[in-house]
Amino acid sequence: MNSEGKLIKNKNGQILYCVKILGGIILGCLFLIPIYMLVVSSIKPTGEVFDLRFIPKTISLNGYSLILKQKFLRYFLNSLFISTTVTIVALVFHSMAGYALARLNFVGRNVVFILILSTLMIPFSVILVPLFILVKNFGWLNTFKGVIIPAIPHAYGIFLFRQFFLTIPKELEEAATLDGCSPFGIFMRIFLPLSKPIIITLATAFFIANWNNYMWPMIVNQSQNKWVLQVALANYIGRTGTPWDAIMAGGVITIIPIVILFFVLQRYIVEGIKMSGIK
Amino acid sequence: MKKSLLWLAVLVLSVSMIAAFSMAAEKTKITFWYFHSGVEGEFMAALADKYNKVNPNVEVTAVSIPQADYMGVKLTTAFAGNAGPDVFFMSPGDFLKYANSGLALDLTSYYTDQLKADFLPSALDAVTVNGKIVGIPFEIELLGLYYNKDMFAAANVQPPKTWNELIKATKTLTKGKVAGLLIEPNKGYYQNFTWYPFLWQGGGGIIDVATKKGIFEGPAVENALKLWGDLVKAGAPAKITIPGTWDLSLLGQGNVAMQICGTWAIAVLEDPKNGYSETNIGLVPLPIPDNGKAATDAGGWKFMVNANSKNADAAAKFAMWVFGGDTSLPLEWCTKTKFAYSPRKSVVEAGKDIYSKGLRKVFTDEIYDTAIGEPRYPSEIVNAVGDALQEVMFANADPKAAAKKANDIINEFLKSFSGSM
Amino acid sequence: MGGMINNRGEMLMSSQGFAIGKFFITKKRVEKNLFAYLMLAPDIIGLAIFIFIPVGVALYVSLHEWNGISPMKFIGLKNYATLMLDSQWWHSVRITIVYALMFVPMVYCLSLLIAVFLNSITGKIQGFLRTVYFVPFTVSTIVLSIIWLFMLDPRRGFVNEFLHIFGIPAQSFLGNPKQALFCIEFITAWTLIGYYSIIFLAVLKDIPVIYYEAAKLDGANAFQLFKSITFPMLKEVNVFVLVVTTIASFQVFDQVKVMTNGGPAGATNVAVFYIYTNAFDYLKLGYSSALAFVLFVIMFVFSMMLLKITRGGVRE
Repeated sequence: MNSEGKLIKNKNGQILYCVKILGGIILGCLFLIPIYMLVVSSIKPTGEVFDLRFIPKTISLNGYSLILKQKFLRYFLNSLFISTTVTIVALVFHSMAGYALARLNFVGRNVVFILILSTLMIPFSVILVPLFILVKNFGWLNTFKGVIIPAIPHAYGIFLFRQFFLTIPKELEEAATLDGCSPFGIFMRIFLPLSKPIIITLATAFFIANWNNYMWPMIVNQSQNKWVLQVALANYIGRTGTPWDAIMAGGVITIIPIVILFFVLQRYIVEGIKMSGIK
Repeated sequence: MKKSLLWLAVLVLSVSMIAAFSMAAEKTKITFWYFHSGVEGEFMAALADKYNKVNPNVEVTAVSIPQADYMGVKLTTAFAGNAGPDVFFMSPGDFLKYANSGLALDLTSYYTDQLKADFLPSALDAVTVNGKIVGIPFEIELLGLYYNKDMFAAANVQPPKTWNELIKATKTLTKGKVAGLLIEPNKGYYQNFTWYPFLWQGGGGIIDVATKKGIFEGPAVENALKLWGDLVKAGAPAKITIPGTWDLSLLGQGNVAMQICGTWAIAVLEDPKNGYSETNIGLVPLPIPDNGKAATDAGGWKFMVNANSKNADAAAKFAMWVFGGDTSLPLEWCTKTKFAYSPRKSVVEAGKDIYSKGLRKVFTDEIYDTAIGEPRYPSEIVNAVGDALQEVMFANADPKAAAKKANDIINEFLKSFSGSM
Repeated sequence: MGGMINNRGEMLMSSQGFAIGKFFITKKRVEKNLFAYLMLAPDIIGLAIFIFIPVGVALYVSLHEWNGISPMKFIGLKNYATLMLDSQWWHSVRITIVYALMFVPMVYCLSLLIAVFLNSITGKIQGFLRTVYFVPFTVSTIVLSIIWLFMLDPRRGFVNEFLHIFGIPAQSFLGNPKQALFCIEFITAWTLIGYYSIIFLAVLKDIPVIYYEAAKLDGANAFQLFKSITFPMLKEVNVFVLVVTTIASFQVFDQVKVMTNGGPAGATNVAVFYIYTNAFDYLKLGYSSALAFVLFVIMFVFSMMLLKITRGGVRE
């Protein structure tokens, strides 16, 4: 690995290191100030949420108790189910498609790539109604599959896998073919294992996108039991008597699982590939 | 022989029992969508259970929809896909769109003569299109100027009665972290709703329905636009932390000195759960210009039934039961759950004690008679007016030019518009 | 290799395959193409059903006048003629392009910078910092809008308090037509920079240390190291980040809807927001579909230009 095992030998190097760390932490604080604002607002009583103070005048966990009383576990599980399913299936499909686009020479490759890419350029607002009609005709309204299945095909993942697979040296492939490996075998035994960083990155991105998704689940869903977290949160924001402390608490609760997930996984993203295999 | 007869009898009996059971289980299903939250939402959700108990062969399901997207994406997509609810709420601004499209069920036959007489004529007119009653009005919400009594006392300022006093008070009370006045800065139907009274106070208007021409020009229009521009310069915030100024949180928490808000706010202020009962808040009618006439906006959502519903009749019966039947539910809505005036004389009579309680007295005695019903303009007109307001408030536009621009758009639109107004 | 040869000496059929004009079709080639399409099948079918079909419907609707609740009325290309003269639409397009031109370089440069910076920090603290920068990405639009409205509040927000220390007067930020668009950009960038720096990091880690060490021995400084070693290795991922952020910036919508509603005075009335207003406020589903198609063409041209310039990130 490149930097993990290096020892900092000289004094200049040590000072530089400390400066870097300090800079990194200051930058981190800047990034986190709004998050701090969120957390601090969630432990204020409703009557003080808008005083925008950094140190709360009074501390109250009323927001949290309100939110948790509202069947939040149910919505949490709904979101978890949807996000996990989409992520897993999408990873399988997109890695296959990305491999085909990156490394297989087939008729119409460029056309297919451009077609797939162009799906990213369509604003959701404009396919919302036709997609809704389509899903309704499939009988998927107010079902989980109505939320999950349309969310799976997405050019973003295909594109990232393609770009990443393009970085893998051709020599590896050639060596494998000489060994009599089939294209599918190359995919399974060489490309996939090497793509751990991208797989985990995309898994995180898909999970978060679906966890935080609001518009489509809100449209497809017609019953309270199937609410996802963001829809539940939006329902509490009304015209009168909005429990702002509960909204803030809800916001914090929706963030915590993802941050923990990322903190655990991010080590694998940046592990990098062991290139020694080439030699 | 006897044995087989017995078996036949048992078979027939059991088959008919099964049939009877499954028929009884065949309930008429109705969906009912609402966007209200908090105590208002609880009221709506409870309606379903109440009705189901009294009508065992109907099953009403109440569904809560986020308020921000209810009228926009949710209803539109649902109806476009023919998956709309059976009973739902309709905003006055979009009322005509739905009525003109034939989506609103004709409820005229469900209104008894007695019921028709019970409603205020103006309220019933607002839901009548081409002679057909296509909705049920159930609340009249008025606008007033709420203010923080303590802040006014500390600054030795009287609550404003005229536009100039309003501007001066805003300037004086904008100190440090407190903003003097809260008016709606975000463009949209609510901003227009809160601004119309100032237009009407000077005798201005937007459309002449008789000639189908735009009349959005002249001193009344320009002055009303200029007022809001002046108020922003005097200290009314251009951006607020709450989604809209229908929410009283900022006033209740002591972050602003004055706020234009409606009758619904009173219940919020009095509810100890919200923590605002400590703040000393008063209410006065909206300030008027010199030589102007007092006016305020009378808004309120309507109940509507889906004409394409499979169970239209049952849905209509449910809707009428909620707000067109016994006075208990409308009374609870208008006096307990929130505060609003009822368009039904019998309900007003039944709740007349409430109308003089606390701040309600100001609405009843000083504001009610000046109310003008909220217009039902199509969104193109709402947008043109909104743009004019935005430009004067935030882009330093000349009110005359902004008004003319909007009026031209309005006239252009009216040329090709054929629906009812 | 035996087989039929035509009178021009071209191989028409052999034990390996046959020819149709210029294309020589072998069993192996067919298998290869079939395999590729099989790998692509699930996604292609999914995209066809859930995107291409709705797009087809939307294109069809764009030739009609439809409010979603009454029957459609066919009006041919009238929507397209109208939008050509719609000054508000072109104003929206202009705002969107301005947004994209500022947004893409900002996000690209900042995330790359942070990735390089993180890459140079050794030890477990790198992991800690990576997570810290990533946290904004986990916040949903509704929640981040609330907290940024707090942060940018003209009277009491943190940013104005901070500027106050330096004697800078309080700004309206999202309430100021001249600042609102940049604020939206800044907030969106805040959510994305941590995420894209992770993507860059994943690739940076693959660059073998010996390249750097050899170059350093030759006396290269940090900038030269970056230019000759780091940057070329990022070619493929550069394309991804640039194309994706360009497309995303043209489609900015969620934050605008929740934070500014297109205002103040139309300063943040970006293209997709205008499309949304036409579709769901004015109930002009036909017109908004036409607008979306025009936006698509604009995005397509930009993206193809970008891909051409970067040669799609395919090396050699």
